[in-house]
Amino acid sequence: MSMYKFKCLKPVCAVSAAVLLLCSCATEKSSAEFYAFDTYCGITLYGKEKELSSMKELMEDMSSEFQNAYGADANTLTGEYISDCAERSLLLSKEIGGGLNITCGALTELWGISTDTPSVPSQEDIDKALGTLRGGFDSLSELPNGTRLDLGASAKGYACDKAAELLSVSDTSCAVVSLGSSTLLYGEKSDGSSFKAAVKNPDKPSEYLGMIETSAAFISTSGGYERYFEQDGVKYGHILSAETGYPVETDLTSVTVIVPYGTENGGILSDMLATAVYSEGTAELERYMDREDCFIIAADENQRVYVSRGVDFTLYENTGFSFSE
Amino acid sequence: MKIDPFDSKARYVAVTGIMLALAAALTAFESMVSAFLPAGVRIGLANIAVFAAAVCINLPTAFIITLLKSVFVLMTRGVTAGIMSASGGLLSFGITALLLSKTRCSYVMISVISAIVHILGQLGAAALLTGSVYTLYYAPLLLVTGTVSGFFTGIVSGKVIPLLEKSLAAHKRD
Amino acid sequence: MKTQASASRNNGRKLLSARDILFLAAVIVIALAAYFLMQGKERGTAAVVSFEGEAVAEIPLDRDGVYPLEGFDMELTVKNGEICVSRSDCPDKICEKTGFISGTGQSIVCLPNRISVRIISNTENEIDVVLN
Repeated sequence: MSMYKFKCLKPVCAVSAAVLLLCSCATEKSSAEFYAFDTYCGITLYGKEKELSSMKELMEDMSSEFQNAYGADANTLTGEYISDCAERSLLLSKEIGGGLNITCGALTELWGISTDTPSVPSQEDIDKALGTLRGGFDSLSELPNGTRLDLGASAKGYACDKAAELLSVSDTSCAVVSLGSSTLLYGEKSDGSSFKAAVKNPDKPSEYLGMIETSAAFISTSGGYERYFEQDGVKYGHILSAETGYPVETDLTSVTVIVPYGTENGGILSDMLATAVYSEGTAELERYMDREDCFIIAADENQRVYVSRGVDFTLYENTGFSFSE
Repeated sequence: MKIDPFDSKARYVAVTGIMLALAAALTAFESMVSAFLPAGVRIGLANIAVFAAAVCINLPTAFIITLLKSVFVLMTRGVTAGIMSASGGLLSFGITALLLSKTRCSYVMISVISAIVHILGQLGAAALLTGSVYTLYYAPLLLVTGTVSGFFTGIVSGKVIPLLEKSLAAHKRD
Repeated sequence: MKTQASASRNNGRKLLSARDILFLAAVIVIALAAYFLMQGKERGTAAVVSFEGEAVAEIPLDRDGVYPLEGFDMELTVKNGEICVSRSDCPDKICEKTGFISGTGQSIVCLPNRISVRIISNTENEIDVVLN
């Protein structure tokens, strides 16, 4: 009898222990959706619940810091994220070129496209705002008083960089941090498959243009279809030209830039590149396509799609778009 | 103690008939009750009658009762239920016969194992019928309820069968 | 004679022995473990409906809706990413009583109709993120 008990107890204990172990070790998929950076954000990660909440907290902290410092004076910046982001953006904007200027805060505020009451300003006001733009400086400290920053083309990308930093010291194996126009795809999916990111159809934003398959990366999109306003029958996009003071005129309708994970400042880089490529249109597209640190998928108003070599992009059928060449 | 073959045969037919009637009645009762139970869960009351027949009469008779019980189900509740009843019933009869003749297992043990085999047989038949092994999704829950109900039918069998045996034996001596 | 023979088979048979309890506990623990392991925490993306093993329909779980099953007096309902058999003409109603399922690997079976419904996850085509 006692022998029997031992024989039977062991497998029972073993099975119970195995079950407990499986339950405790399993990294669960958890996700959160919230509003930050003026958009709906989503985080999905395979890790501990705590890591999800600290990620969400980080994003919301950064978002509120950027929100409060909207159009901030470059010389009175408070908050570590803003100054850090501004310094990094400054370096990258010089490297990328493409009309990127982080000192166009006054101009952005004048148009108020991200606010509830955007309107076309008078030429006089635009000229005045253009007068506050600065170029040819190497550090924020060189800027004169009253220079207003606009980090709209880099804040979300920067947040993705910060998210990647946080994840790299966590136990999370895989994560998707989506901040609207900028996305971080981190780690590796448990089934070993690649990440799949859908690109919206710029002509019909409720549908997809195609799907990108990629390993871990920073991805940013820029397009005129997301944020704009209409006045007197004219559509005004949200990306302003530092030269004319008006929304940029471009023949591109959607630009997606993929920067592989591991690239320094990859998030900001993808974000700023997306804006730059979009602003300059097809004329300058080739130059950006030649860059070795990123991949580009761009669609123009003639429904042509341009894709960098080496990108796994599937163009969906019946979108009306076709590959160029 | 002389045994009159005619007397024995009459008694045999009568007792077998009673057992079959009992099995059929319990089956009918159970199908009414199972409407209030979770998906697929059955108590296995009719097993008591088969069990009793196997102990008090003999194994071939219990086998026939099992078959006829399935025919009863086939006629009253349709082909699917009939196949299910036969597949579970015959397998569980087989294991009951084996345990009864080869081991000294307790009533509860026989009843529980028979219930488990009954369930496995039914799930196997269900897998064949639907052509999908995913019927096994129901297995764990059914095994738990089957073990519990097997435990109780085992208790009932263990209390009733010795009494039944005694009374049959007593009448025989008359 | 027959009863005597069987009486000997039953001689000294216990109602319940101590080791039975262990056996019962083991079966229940293993079955419960299997139950929880099979619960498939991963939510599925679609339900495959099969008739005698042949897939006859695939129902996406991302949209609520009621789906009558062609050729059968059955109806499936999708709600909040879960699916159930909401109506069936079968006598035992086991399929209806199974209720809503949503985890990959979970199933509903309707034996009289030879129908099985199984949750699958189409991770192949599942999009991880939509770029805005």
